[in-house]
Amino acid sequence: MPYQTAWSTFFDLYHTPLRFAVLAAFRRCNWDRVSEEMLEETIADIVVSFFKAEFSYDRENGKFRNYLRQLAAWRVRDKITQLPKARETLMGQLDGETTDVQELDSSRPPDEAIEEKEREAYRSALLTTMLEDVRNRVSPQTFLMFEMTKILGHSPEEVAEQFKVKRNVVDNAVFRVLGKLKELAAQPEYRKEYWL
Amino acid sequence: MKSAWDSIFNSDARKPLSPEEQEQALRELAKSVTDVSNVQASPEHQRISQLIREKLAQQAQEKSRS
Repeated sequence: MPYQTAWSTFFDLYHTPLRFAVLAAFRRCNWDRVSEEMLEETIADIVVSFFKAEFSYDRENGKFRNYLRQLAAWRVRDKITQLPKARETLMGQLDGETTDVQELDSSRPPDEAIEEKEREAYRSALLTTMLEDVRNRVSPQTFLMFEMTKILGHSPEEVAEQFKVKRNVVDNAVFRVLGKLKELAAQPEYRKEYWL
Repeated sequence: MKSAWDSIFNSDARKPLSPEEQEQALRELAKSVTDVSNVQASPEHQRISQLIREKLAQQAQEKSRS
């Protein structure tokens, strides 16, 4: 699972869902236009806080996706409160009625388009995580045959020729990897994360 | 639209998939992997990775000073 890995691997897989989670969190604070610089800075803060001592995800307490979304909300709030002028503008937009940024979190309905993109990106990241998990559960040759035929789009005949094996060896590799993916999909850890 | 993975995550791992379900699941998987790989190769990804490295190094330095 992503929380059992190095920061670079985690970020390689979860960049897009984090991006949409951050955009959604800014939007909930009435912040519709976020500069790319601020977006990137906030994403970096999330990854850093995720991997430093304050890391506190406990899978018994909920979904990893929800944890990431919460982390995004916290880091966005930090960013806004660190920018006095921006905060002032933000408060001005609400006629000074709101005094705490946290109150803004629930002040606005979610943008369904952003939420949907975040859900899709999270599922893509999850499926890719599962495939990476399978990589460590089958032989390198089996995985490569699968990858070449089903991810990179080479024909099974071409792959068989390259590996100097019969066509059915390639078919078996695909069958084996798919079987492992199905096994992982039956594990509660992955199943819980898939249903958003 | 319903994903082929919805059935996979719903059903028993021993239940065989129909050839159509299998192909759809593999197509969706390939798309997911390609999307993730494309993001990894983007300049944004490189920039944020560098930012993370710098922030982690800064933290490590602060920690060693204290």
